[in-house]
Formats: sequence, structure tokens, C-alpha cells
Amino acid sequence: MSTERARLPAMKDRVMENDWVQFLISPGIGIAWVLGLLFLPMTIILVISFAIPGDFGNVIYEFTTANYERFVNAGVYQSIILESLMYGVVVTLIALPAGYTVGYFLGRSKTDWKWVLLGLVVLQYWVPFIIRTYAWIIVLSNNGVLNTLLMDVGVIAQPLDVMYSNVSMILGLTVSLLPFMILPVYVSVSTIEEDQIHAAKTLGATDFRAFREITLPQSLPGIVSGILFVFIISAGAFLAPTLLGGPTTRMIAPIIEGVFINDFNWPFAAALSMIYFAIIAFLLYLFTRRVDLEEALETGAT
Amino acid sequence: MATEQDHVTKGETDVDAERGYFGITFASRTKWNLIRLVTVVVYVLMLLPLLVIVVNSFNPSRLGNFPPESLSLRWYTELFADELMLRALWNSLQVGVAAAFGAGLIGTLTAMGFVRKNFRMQDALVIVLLSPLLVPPIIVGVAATIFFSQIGIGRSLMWLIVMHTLLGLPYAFLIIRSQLYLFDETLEEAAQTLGADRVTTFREVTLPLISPSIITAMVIVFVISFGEFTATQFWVKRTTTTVPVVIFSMLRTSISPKIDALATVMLVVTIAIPLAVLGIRRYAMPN
Amino acid sequence: MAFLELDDVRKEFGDLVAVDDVSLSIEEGQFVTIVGPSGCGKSTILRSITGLETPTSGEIRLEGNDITDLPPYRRNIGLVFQDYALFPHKTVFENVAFGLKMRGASDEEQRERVEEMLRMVNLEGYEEKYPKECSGGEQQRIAVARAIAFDPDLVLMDEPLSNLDKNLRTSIRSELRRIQDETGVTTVYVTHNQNEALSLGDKLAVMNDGRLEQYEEPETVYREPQTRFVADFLGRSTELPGTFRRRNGDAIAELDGGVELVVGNDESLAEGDDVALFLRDEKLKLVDGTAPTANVIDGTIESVDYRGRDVNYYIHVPELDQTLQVSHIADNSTETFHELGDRVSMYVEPENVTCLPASTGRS
Repeated sequence: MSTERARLPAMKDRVMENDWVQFLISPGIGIAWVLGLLFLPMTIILVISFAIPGDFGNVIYEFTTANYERFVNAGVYQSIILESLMYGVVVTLIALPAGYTVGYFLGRSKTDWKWVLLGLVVLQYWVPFIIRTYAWIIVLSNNGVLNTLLMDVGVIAQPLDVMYSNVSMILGLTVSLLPFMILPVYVSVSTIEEDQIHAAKTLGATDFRAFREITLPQSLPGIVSGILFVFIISAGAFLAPTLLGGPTTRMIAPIIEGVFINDFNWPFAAALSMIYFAIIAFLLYLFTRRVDLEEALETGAT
Repeated sequence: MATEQDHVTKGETDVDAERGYFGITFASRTKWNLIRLVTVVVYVLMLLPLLVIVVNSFNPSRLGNFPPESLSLRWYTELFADELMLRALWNSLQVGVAAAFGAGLIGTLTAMGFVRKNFRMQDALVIVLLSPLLVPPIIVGVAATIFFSQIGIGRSLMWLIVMHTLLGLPYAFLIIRSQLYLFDETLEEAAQTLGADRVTTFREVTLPLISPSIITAMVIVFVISFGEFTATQFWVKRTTTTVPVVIFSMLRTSISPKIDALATVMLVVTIAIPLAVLGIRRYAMPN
Repeated sequence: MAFLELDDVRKEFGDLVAVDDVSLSIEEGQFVTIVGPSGCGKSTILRSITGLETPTSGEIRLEGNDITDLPPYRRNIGLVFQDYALFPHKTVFENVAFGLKMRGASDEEQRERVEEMLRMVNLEGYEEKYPKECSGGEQQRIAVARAIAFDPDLVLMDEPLSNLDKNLRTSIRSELRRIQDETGVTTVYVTHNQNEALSLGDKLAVMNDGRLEQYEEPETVYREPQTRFVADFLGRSTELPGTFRRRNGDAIAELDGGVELVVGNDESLAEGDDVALFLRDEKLKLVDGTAPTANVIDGTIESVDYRGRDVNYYIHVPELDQTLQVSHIADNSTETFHELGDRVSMYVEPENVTCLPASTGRS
């Protein structure tokens, strides 16, 4: 009796009331955790961003807009945020085709190795960022593995100077974030039955048309989720610009860290955080007008 | 890595599965080979650097010339003689395990609340719960540090545990909720008609059936906690430092193969512990 | 005082009335079947009896005690679920023993009782299997064993056979009846399948749209439907509108196009009442010209549906502007079948014509 089953929620409220387990089973604890440890601290730094910096991380609680004025007047912070977002876009633009191709391969391949390959991506996903980032140092630096090998073989006479540059940073960041693209695309592609593609072809579609009409639209949730994660993480990256970047690499996260730790200027660090967060929130808002944020996060996180 | 047979039915790249290998056009094969090539390149880029770390950690030479001329455990010996390193490892393990239990417990209760109860603004509250995924970790790190210092709470392992629970909570929630959606609630009704009250029903029926997802969630939270650096760097003091923070500060001073050894240990922990837990889960719960 | 009594039970879900003031009483040891189409409220009634649903109003009494607001785990009522709801993480033994365990039975008692139950459903030796290792029919019997094992006052079955294929359904149906005879446990069985409804129960309740339409022995319900819904729902028949007349002591229904049928005499109908006639297709007989003169309808064969053991003729009657269905047991060795376009006559005995006031129940 499907019609009656569909109405079960109304019943559930009643059956479950008046029971201590029922009290615990509620969204309350999780919501409280997030509100207390994320929303409340965010509110406090919003307040502090309008206060005057004292010495050694002290905060003088007097209202001022000086921190924001500093951001507006010293154009450097604006261009740093802009550059961060640009790096985010570049990394996403590289990770999308590369990750999609691998995800597509894993979703369609019938090789016996598929589960091993899939497992390797998951393991890669588990490896801490710091290790994935550090690995590029020993591969790319002047006396690193790549240069040593190339010089030993005689391909090059001088070490390639790729380390500590935008190139090495983008490379490290992109490779680190590929699992965020590969896994959701794989999940989307592998749920598309191959008969759909066969059907499209019997109806006269070429390979490319079949891909565009059948596979691509249905793997869109994976793409969207991948883009969301790769962009947010890469634009706000701290380790890659700090460890792999060069003198011209400027990104927002290391700047905030510097203002916070080295300058001990908490109000300005708070102001920079709020500005950057506002921009990310606005981009997410634009994003949610086109897609379901919850679905995208779920696709990426599970 | 892929065999020749995997051409036979290859989605877009095959013309007609029934015609098999010989029915595939030249163009289709070329496309599929291109896809394979990209895949191989991506895997090399993902895995080779990690392999280099592992190999290098056994290289006795301080310069780390590659490939190593001999192998030794020199750096591991130094590593395990270093009290700070051991302390960091122990801290990371404690925090990871505690955060896994914290996020597992809260995630389970919260997910059950969302799936089983009706309340207003459910969609908005889900986004609230998932927001730790959306706020850049640098901001989470700065905000929590200012918050705790303003209310006068000093850095401690508990601070780390509480915050890592926060960072892991969205993952735990999503993983457990997706299993709860699949859970057949008539099983709980069946237990009740057989005489089980709600607590017993939860213990005998609900918990055993959703526990695979809870365990998976806890493993993921452990992995996240164990590797988290960007926010954590603000939250530790010398006695509560964690492995990623130690690696980072070592990288700032000098590059020594000791880092490779520590990174390899970290690699082993992040891969071995989840695999072991998931393996035990599979063994202990054949269903 | 009956064993189980439902007193004006009503259940609303928002604006929707799922159960509309149903009263029903069941005697101890009876096997009662509730039948009706999807969404008629029969499952809601069952869930209310177990306590998985609380009625909006009304009372449910078991042996005179009001159990309306008791949670399911404080009632002693077994329920066999439509999809069995076997615990996938527990063995067959643990499943069947669950109710006993909840009641604090010792290991020894559990073992004995489970063994006895599994013997009863012919599943000896299945103790250590998991449900997913059992076939659909086996799972069904495990579910029955589990619902009976803890010696409930009452066993309820919610479409327990609907997930089985046809052959299995028939054999398990008779097994269910045997188990009920053996244990003597009062049973309420819900189904939308009229074959199950007619063959299984001591009493049959027909429900439609949240209301109880009729509640009597299955034969009576089939032979003397009290409402248009019941007449239409059980068996296959054609409904014809008409007007009731009394003539020379005969009860007659006047149909469109001047056709008249003598019907079984019904005291409750009065001259000129609008009536609905139901002609069951197995009660219509094909006759040749020498047959009775009254209650004969002529028509033309419109289509023939040969089904092996019987033949269905669809016969168009121009006067009524209706096509009647005649079901005819085929004697395959000798019979020559009618063909399309043949003119035939049909006869129906007066007592086989169901004649109900047009205002009773909708169909």
C-alpha cells in the first residue's frame, strides 16, 4: 500500500516522542557543535575585524573601519585575493579534463585492474596534503629526483628550474586535488548503463554525439561536485603556495597566516578572513542558483 | 595497466558491442587509447612522488641522491629516538581516534535526527551542518584561535579533538545519512511488534545495521584529522603538536631525509589503519 | 464480548481519511481476511491493531482490554510483514527467537520453541542460515514462524504472499491455513487478492475507501454482495443500470432497450427504485433456441478469448448497448467454439442476478 507508506513521517513523530533516546536522536547536537565552534567564532572575528589591533595579538575593542580601509587602500590585498581565485580557476580548469578522463576510464573500463586503480585513487585521497605537497619538493627541486635523473641520462646539462614557481605550485595543487574530481566523476559515469549508449548509437548517434547527449549530461553531478571541491580548496590553499610556490606566488591563505602569526595583527587577519569568506560565500551563492549545494557536497564527500 | 580486451565494450568508443573487437573503428580505438594514456600519466603523477618519498626514506645519504646507492634504516632510527616526533605521532593518533569517535557519535545522532524526524528549515540546517566543508580551513583556524583565546581557553589536546570533530562531522553525517536512507524502517517495526522497546530496537536492529557506515565514517574522520594541517597549525603548542605540523616546521628549517621517514610513517598509518579497520569490519560482519 | 473488537476506529492522515469509522469484531481462533484495493485502509487497520499506528478516534479492545494507545511492544500481537522484515544481520534462529528473547525466555526454551516452529513450517535445519541465503518462500515461512513463536494473542498478516510467484502462493496459502488450524491462533489476514480472500478465511471483510463494506462468511459475501462495490470487486461481472418492478409476485428489473430480467426477490426494494444489476460472467449460460423464454438476452459475439480451461466470449447486446462477458468451461474434446459474429442467447437464473439499490456504495 504505497500510498499509506508514503505518509509514515506523520506517524513517526508520535511513535518516537517521550523517550530519552528520542531526545538524543535529533539534529540538535550536530547543529550546536557547528554553531558553537564555527558560526560563533566567525561572528567573533567579524566583531574583531572592526576593532583596533593592540600589541602581541591583543585586541582593543573600539569600533573602527580601519582594517577594511587598509584593505581597500592597499591594493595589494585585493590583487592577492584576485590571484588566489585565479589560481583556483586555473587548477580547476586543468583538473577537470584530467580528472574527468580518469574518472571516465574507471567508470567504463572492464579491466581486472579497475579495483586496484580505484583503490589507489582512494588511497591518494587519504594521503595527507602535507605529504602530497612535500613529495613535489623532492621530485622537482634542483637536486631533486627529476633533475638528477634527467642529468644522469644526459637529457639536460643544467637542472630545470621549475621548483619554487607558479608552475610547481599549480602542478602540486592540481595533482593533490585530482581525487576530488576523479571519484565523483567515476561514480556518475559508472551508474550510466552502457545500453543507453548502445541505444543512442542504434538511433544514429556518433561516438561524440553519444557522449555529449548521454554520458556528459548524466555525469554532470560528478563534474559539479568536483569543480566545487577543487576550486574551494585550491583558492584557499595554504601548503602548496607556501612550500611549492615561488617569489611571485601570492595567495590569500599564507597572507592571512602571516598577518595573524608574524604581524600578530588579529583584527586585520580577521578582516581579511571575513572579506575572503564573503567572496567565497557569494560565489557559493551564485553556484547554488544553478545547482543543489547539498547534493554536490554529498557527491563529493561520500 | 588496461588489457586489450577492454576494447570490446567501451561505451562511446565502441561501435557495436556485438561485433566485438573487429567491429571497432580505428577512430574509436585511438580515442580510447588517448583516454588510457591520460589515465596512465595521471597515475604516474599521483603515485610516483609518494614512491620517491618512501624509497628516499631508506636512503642513508643526507643528500638523498636518487636512486639510492644503498638502503638503511638510519632515518627511522633517528626518528624514533626523537622525543618530539614520537610525541607528535602519539598526539596525532590520540586526536584522530578521539575525533573519529566524537564525529561518529554526533554524526549518527544527527543523521538519525534528520532522517527520522520532521522539523522546519531542514534544508537550511543541512547546509549549516555541512558548512565546515565550505569555510576555507585557514579561516576556521584563525576564527577558532581568536575565539578560544578571547574566552580564555588555552591550547590543549581537547581543543584539537573538539575542532577535528567539527571538521570531520560533515563527512560522518553524509556517510551515515546515506546509509540511513537505505535502512528499511519496517525492520524496527518488526522488532517492536516482537516486543522490543525503542532502546532495545535501536541496539538490536538499527545500530548493527547502520554500523558499517558509522565505521566507514570514523575511518574517514580519522584520516582527515590525522592529515589536517592548515587549520591545526594555529591550534597546537609544543606539547600538543601533531605530525603534519612537525613535518611543516622541519621543512621550514632544513630538508632532511628524516622528513621522508616521518612522512612514510604517516603514509603507512593513514593507509594501514583504515584498511585494517575496514578489513576487520568485513571479516567481523560478513553481511 | 468478542476476542478482538474495533469500535468506530478512524484514522486520518492530514485531510485524508484512511479508515472511516470501522467497527469489526473477531472471535477467538477465527481466521479473518480483510480484502480491498490498494489504499482502502486495510493496512492501516492492521497497523492500528499492532500499535504501529494510533487511531485518530475509536477504540481497539483485545479480550475486553482497551489497547488503543499501547505501544506495539506492550501488546502481544505478531505481525507478518509484506516484505517479511526479517533481520538481515541475524540468523534464522535469532530471527525466530527474537520475540522469545524479548520476553526473557531461557536459551533452552528458545531452542525448543524455535525448533518446534521451524518444524511446523518445514524448515528444520535452517537455524544457522541467514535470511538472504533463503528463497522468497522460505523467508516468508520464517516470517510466519517468527510472528507465532512467542505465542501471541493474535497474528496479523499484511499481504504476506504478494511477493511470491503464483505457484508458490497457492502452496503457501494452504500451508498458512494448516498452521492456523494447528496452532488455533486468531489470525487477521490482509490481502488485495480476491482468491486468497475467498479461500482463506472463516470470515471475510471487504473494505473500500476506508469503509467496511461487508463482513460475513466468504461464500455469503460472494453470493450475496450487499453493496455495488463488493459485487464488482469480487469475481468478474458486468454492471447494468435498471429500474425495479414487481409484477405477479416476481421481482423484475427493467433494463435499457426494453430488456427485462427476473431477479431474486429482495424485500428491501420498492417499485420504481433505481437499481444496479450485476451479471457474473460464470453465471451467464449460453443457450440454444429451445431454452427458457424468460431471462434470456440475445447478442452477437464480438470477440473470443480462448484460455485453455475456459473460453471467454464477449457478447454485444445492442438493446443494452453493452458487451457482456460469458465464461464458459471448455470441453476441448468435443466442443466447437462459437465464432465472431455468431448470434447467441444467454440465460441467467433469477437468484444469480445480484440486484442492489443504485445508491449503495460506488463501484
